Amino acid sequence: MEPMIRADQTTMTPDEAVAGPDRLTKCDAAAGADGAVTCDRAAADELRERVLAVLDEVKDPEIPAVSVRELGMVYRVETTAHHAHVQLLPTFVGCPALDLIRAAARRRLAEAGIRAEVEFVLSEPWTPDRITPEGIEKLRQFGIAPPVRPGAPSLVPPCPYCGAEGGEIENLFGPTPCRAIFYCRRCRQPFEGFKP
Amino acid sequence: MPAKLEQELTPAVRTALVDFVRQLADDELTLGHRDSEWLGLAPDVEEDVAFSSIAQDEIGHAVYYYEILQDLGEGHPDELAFDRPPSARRNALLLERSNGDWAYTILRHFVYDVWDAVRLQALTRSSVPALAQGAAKMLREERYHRMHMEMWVRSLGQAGGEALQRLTAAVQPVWADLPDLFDFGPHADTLVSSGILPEPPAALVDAWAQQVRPVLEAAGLPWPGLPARGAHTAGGRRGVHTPGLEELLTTMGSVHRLDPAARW
Repeated sequence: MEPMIRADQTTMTPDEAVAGPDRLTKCDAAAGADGAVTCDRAAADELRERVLAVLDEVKDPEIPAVSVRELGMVYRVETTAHHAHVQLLPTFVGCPALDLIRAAARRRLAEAGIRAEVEFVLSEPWTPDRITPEGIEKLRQFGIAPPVRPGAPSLVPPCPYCGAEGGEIENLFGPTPCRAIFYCRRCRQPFEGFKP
Repeated sequence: MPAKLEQELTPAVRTALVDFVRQLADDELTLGHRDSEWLGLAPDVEEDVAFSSIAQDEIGHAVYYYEILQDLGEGHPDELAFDRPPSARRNALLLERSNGDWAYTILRHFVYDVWDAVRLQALTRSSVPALAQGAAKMLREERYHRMHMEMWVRSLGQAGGEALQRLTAAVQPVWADLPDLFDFGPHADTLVSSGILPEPPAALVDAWAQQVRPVLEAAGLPWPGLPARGAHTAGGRRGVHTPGLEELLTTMGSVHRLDPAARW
């Protein structure tokens, strides 16, 4: 059995860190017969865009409204002209969907004819801040409140249905590790939200 | 983790690391199993959900640690979880005790969650990258367990009556197991000197007390004080367990043993 989460052995240079984790391209550095190093950056860039587009189609099976990319789970995509290396961040270490997400990513990349490795890493902790604006909007439409901002005075997000603030925590634990149950006083019903 | 790291480890440091990761893994697995035993029996459906979710987190963390052990050549995570005899387990005795009543369950979980948070906080600076990265992530997840248990300790205490009585009765058995919980086993000095655990155990115990005391007092419990620090010769970190662990392992491994080669 391969490990679910790998410790990251690669170290990012500051330049790479600034460039942004899911925006990396590595060139082929294959030495030709004459000893010259070739580097097909355009092809690597193009492959990276294709990989990201495929990852936009990979959903969290427990929240099918949003893709893993919209959830901010894509940490890094390194590509050469012919190969991709995808690193994903688990939302929660013990999330039972990780295996399914990794398998779905591999399957879809393979279907797209892309040779790729896909693995989970903990190079940085996933936090709800990583959810994209599109992801936040899709979550809300799905009936899951996006998380409150870090340092917010209350852990309770606004109700995804009516927008009312000042709800209550009904249960810090919900149907999946990343969700909690809150209660809207205006709607007088519970709603789900991302754990802050 | 790291073939790369392993080459740098001296035999003594490697032994200490393996022993310590077993402590971390076995703590989480054992408590996670106890948590799962509340499913269908918790006081209300919200607690069924909460304890199931917490169990899932703890066992997920255990798997992460077992995979570190696997990388160190210590065997497959399933074997590590299911097939080791009690003498090879390194979990604290506190976590293998049967669940008892709700008050004992809550108080045990609360003191462990604070201890785990203090330990993880230190491990975010560990010389072992897999531990440092895992700790940073798990700390965020364990925060919710701790908030939940703290809420319950306060509620049970402030309710008075039978709830406070039962909470009060839970203090003595929980406190009796604290020296064992705080033990880092026979390689503690190596853990600290190698930077695997970049904080001396005594400092962790102080940090734990600072966080536990105000909650107990808010619940109306007198602060029982810290247990005396003594030398350890037995206990969970040294593979000397209670019959409770044997019973737990028999139950936990019953399905696995029907067909150890089955793929799930």
